[in-house]
Amino acid sequence: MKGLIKAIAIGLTLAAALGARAIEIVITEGWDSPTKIAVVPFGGPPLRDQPGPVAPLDLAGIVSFDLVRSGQFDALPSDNMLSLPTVAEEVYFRDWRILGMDYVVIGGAEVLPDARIAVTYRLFEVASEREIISTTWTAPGEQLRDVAHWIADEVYEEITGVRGAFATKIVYVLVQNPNAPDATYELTVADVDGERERVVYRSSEPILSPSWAPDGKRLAYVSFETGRSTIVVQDLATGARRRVAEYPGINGAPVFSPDGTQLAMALSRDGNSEIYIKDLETDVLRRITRRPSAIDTEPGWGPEGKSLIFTSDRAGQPQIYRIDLATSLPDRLTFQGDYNARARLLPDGRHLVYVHRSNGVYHIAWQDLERDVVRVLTETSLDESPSLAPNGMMMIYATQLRGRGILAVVSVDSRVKYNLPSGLGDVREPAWSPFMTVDAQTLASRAVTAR
Amino acid sequence: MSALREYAGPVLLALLLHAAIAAALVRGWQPDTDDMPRLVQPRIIEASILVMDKPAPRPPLPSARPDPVPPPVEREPEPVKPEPKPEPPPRPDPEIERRAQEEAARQKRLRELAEQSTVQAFESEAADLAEATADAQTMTYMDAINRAIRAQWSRPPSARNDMKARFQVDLVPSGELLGVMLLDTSGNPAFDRSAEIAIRKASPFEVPPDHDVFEANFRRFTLLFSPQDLLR
Amino acid sequence: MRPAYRTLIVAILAGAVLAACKQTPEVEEVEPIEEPVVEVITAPPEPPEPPRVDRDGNPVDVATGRPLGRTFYFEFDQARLSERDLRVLAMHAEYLRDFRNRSVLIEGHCDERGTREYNLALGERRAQAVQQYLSSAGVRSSQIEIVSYGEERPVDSGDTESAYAKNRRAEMVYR
Repeated sequence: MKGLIKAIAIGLTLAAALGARAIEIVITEGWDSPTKIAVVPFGGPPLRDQPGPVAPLDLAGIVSFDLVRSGQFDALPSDNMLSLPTVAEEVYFRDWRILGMDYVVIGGAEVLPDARIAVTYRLFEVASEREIISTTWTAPGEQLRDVAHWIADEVYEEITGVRGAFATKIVYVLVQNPNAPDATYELTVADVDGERERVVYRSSEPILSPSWAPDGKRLAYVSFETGRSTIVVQDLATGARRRVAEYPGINGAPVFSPDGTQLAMALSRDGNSEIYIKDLETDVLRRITRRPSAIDTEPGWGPEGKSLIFTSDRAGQPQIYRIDLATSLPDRLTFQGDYNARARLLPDGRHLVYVHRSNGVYHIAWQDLERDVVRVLTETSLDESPSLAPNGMMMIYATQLRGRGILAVVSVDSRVKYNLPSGLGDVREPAWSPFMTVDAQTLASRAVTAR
Repeated sequence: MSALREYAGPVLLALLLHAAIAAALVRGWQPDTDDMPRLVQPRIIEASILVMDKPAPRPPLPSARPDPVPPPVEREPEPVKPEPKPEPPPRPDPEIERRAQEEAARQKRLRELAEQSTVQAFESEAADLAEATADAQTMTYMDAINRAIRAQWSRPPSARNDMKARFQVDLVPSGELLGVMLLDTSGNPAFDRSAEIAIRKASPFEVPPDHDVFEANFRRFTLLFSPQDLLR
Repeated sequence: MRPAYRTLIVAILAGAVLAACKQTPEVEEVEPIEEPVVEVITAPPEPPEPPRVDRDGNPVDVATGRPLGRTFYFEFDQARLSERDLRVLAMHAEYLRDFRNRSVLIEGHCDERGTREYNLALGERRAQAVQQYLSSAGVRSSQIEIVSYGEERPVDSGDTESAYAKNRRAEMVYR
């Protein structure tokens, strides 16, 4: 069929060519492979983002590692570079062409009189020998890692046309001494590359289902600190905590609405688990589902907060449903497999990821809602808690490695998979933050560099 | 590619048939048109490139210009159907002589006219033939360029099916890239750039050794990038 | 019955009588307050012959003297009690009817398969299965409390079918 179409395409093109005496070649297929990029070690003095005897930061290394983790890039190790330019004049495109590079990033840093650090970098496209980006970031030393992630974001967006999500965060639950009487649960926030871990709440009782507010400044999660499930909203900057749902029965699965003013949740205050929406300003509770015989839980918001998706076993086994908040009409979204749960919509509202059981094994599946295509993205077992990067390109999830809970990341096209490093303990319940805006608080600034 | 192979048989067959007719006509009736054979012969030879005797390994086009020329197709011209010559009906009239002469003259004129039209038909057929071989050649190289670029084209994740970016490409006769110009943007700069990089990385291109064909089609041409094979 | 225990009961009953006399319930706890009055009359403080509880205060099978089973197991993604469980629960119900001052916490648990929040609801459904049986057998709702821990508190952290089977359970905790 493809061949036939192509034959017709060529025929038509040829026919057109005969008439016009100018040919056009139509390319309808490609060979998608990772873009080859060289991020040359940055010039300048050794830089540290924290006091004490720590190794200097390798900004280029962070940028390079970010890009590689996306699965869309292949980075050249610096050992294999023919030269290590730090200024534009030293970039010999022929060398980079010989090395098969599509792009080259060079850069350098300098310490300003006010002790802030200015990092200048340039992105070159090798085939056309053009400079595409030239930018300077200025930031305090403790924000150097952010600067590296911002650079990676810019390079990524320029080349892929998709907003980068390297300067975002993840939250997860780290369990020390799991399954022991002295187990401790640590709600932890870290960079998406696993660096800069910070415990934001610690408890001897289970913590689960952390979820980000759309501004990235608050978390909602379930805590058993009272002996039963309770939903807590915590401000990350101040650490202030507020119990927003302490009803009889289950208080679970909180998720912020896209505008951050409401929290969808699962409550069993009326006898069994149903979906509710709580207005965080007025505390008004609105019940969304009414199925006294079924478990309705794990809500997720649709685009613009106009619908909710949720897990329900109303048909006998857990499946994913969507309910329009205006009409309250539910429709079932998943039909393959006998266990589909904890769904999240991609930012386009057209694709779902969820926990899917096939042949008794739990994987994360991806589904195109319009074309009704289902793809399994993961190949480990007991895969849980999928959470999408805000650009919809990557997904983090919890899985098990030799009986221990770890976090893994997979690209939504399943081209790349990697495990996040973790120390001792069991890591679970990851949630990827929204985009973090570079606001005044960060003290950083960005300028396009003149040559 | 299968398209090319599917084409090859019929095209060759048609060419051979034309060639045979042409040869017969030329030899039989018009030995004096001396530019004809020159025009026809090389085309037939080149047409045989299309055959690709061994249909297996196709992509690497002969890198060296001088293609191994297969022996020209030697074939006896098939006997051309003789034109039915209308016999003058016997006239018992006394004016037979004169009428016969007139009729003979008329017949001669008719014959001449018929021959003339045959020649005309042949000439246009020969032109078609030449065009067909040139087109076949053009198609072969178009396909080779398509393949070379496709192999280098890595689409960004923001690419979507049916996006369209059109480039004008200028080549020198060696196939080296002289210039690339974006004619119509897809609206997605990353997509456009990925296409341009593919063009640059795929160059230099294989181009037809035939000067006329190169000048006609490959000195400057356009490339339309419009993916149909993406997941979304 | 140990004296301390008897004192406690008396104290509670007395409290209940006082509360009933007050007749100004601030909260809507009408049901649990009014009935104990009847109880004062029907439960004579005579020592029962066979002990009803073991040393830890958990009820025992009157016939055998052995503690009643307090853990009930379930099939995967199910919350149905077996007939054997129901027979055991009937004895728990009898005890709880006889001792209205006792109450139980029913914990629902799941194995680690499936999602945590769904398991939280499934664990609750298991606890509710026990609760509903006890209620239908005459145990007051004020005597029963339920909580679900989902998959957060396994008794066996293994990943074998037998470990999973041990974790899919409802547990009764007397208080």
